[in-house]
This record gives sequence, C-alpha cells and structure tokens, in this order.
Amino acid sequence: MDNAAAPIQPIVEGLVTYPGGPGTTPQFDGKGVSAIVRDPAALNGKGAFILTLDVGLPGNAGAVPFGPSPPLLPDPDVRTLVLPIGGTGIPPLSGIASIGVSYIPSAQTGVGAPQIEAVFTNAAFVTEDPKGGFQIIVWRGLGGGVVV
Amino acid sequence: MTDYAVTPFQPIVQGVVTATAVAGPVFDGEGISSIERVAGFPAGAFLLTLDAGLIGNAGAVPPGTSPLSDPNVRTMLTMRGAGAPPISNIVATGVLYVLSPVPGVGADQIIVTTQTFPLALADPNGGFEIIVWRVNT
Repeated sequence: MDNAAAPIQPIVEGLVTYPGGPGTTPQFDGKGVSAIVRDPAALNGKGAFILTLDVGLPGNAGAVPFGPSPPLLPDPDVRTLVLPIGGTGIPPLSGIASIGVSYIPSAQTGVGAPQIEAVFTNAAFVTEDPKGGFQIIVWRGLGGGVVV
Repeated sequence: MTDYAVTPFQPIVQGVVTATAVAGPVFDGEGISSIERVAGFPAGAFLLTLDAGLIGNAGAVPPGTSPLSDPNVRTMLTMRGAGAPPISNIVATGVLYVLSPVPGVGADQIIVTTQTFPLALADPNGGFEIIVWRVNT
C-alpha cells in the first residue's frame, strides 16, 4: 500500500570522521559531497563542518534552491538528518548536546545553496567534535507551501 | 541498481517549522494542514495537524496500543542553527501522536517539543525540519 504523500529525494549520504582524532582534518566517506572543511568561525577549531555538494550528481544535487532572502531565513526545500557517532568508550558517548544545520547560499544569484554546515556543541553550547564522527543524510524536499 | 530496501518508509509529512516570540509558528512543506502552539505554552511546544486531503491515509496514522506507543509512524526532527557558526540552542526534543476523539480515526495530530539547556521549553533559533513516515507493520 502506498501512503506516501510527501516525496523526498536523498542527495547526500555519508560518514564524516577525522582519522587524526577529534579536532583534526575531517573526511567525508559517502555520496553527494565533493569537499569538507572546518568552519573557521568556530574559534576553538572544533564542531563546525562545511560540506560542499557534488555538482556532478544527477538532478540539482550541486545546490538546493534556497528560500526567501536573506538567506538565513528558512529554506523550505531541503532536509538533513545528522547523527553523532559515539567514541570508543563503554557506553559509546558522543559528547554532543545540540546539533544545528544551516544551508549556505552561493554568492551567485540563482544558484541556491551549494554548501551545508553542521554544527555540534556540548551541553555548555561550546562547539565540539562528536567523538566518533557523524552520519549525514540530505534530502531534497519537493513542493508544498506555507501553512499557519 | 541493487534494491536493499526491506522496510518501506512512506513519507506523509515533510517541511520546515519556524517560530519566534512575535511570529508563527509557520509550517512550509507538505502534509500539514495547520500548526499552532500548544495552549498554555508560549514556546517550544507545537501542535501540527495532519492534512486529511492528501492521498493515502495521510490525514491520520492508525493508533497503537496506547497513546505513548504507536508502532505505525516515525518522525525525524532536525534543528536548524543560527549565527556564525550556526549553533542550535536545542538539546532535547520529543514527539507525541495525538489520538482523535473519534473512534477508529487514529492519530491525526503530532505534538513536537523542543528544549534548551538547562532544560526549559524554547523555540529553535533557526526553526526545525520535520519528516514523518507512515510504516506498514
């Protein structure tokens, strides 16, 4: 039986880790992302990752349309699931209390948002790397409209 | 391409919710016909009504064995951050499926709660994304 009423299309799925340990160079292993860097705005050098969408993928996976300007207003066309991975302790705690995602618009008009940022903090809202990395899935949302 | 799917998930809701102290809440997406704050709570508690006009039974999900145990539905919430870097102010979330008072209808509303730390109800500073799946058990 098909009850689906709200189509969603995955454009990114993968795992982010830091082979040198937390705070070192991150790497993405999966599909849909062509580059990953840390955001220098996180002054302690941890917990903020900017992922660039892969323009070589089918569809418009290189960017998602963004919502009304200014760009920090909500983008209705994209969904992201982020899951921190625990460390090697028992039990495997991640050390993460809050997760925020944001979509970074291109400076070029009409391109949309070609980058996604994921930010992790501890309970004091200080940016922090998940001890074991994190999983990420990004969906392109389709259609709909405003409801109040 | 190999098909690995063994547990079909059928999305019935997908969208973005935003709210501030002076505006909203607002839902932008599909599968919700109305959104409001839970009465008596000025922040961090949202009541979403499923859209009965959608295909399938998207207007409600069959009830489970109790109000707190419904095996027929899954929900994903992602907080959007704000600022530089875009940090989220939310550390705890909860969902509850609200049964219709009409027998046999099932759950036609969803309550979402969001809390900051120390634990207190708060609106997400960048809003939140929501996806709801109907599952066939």
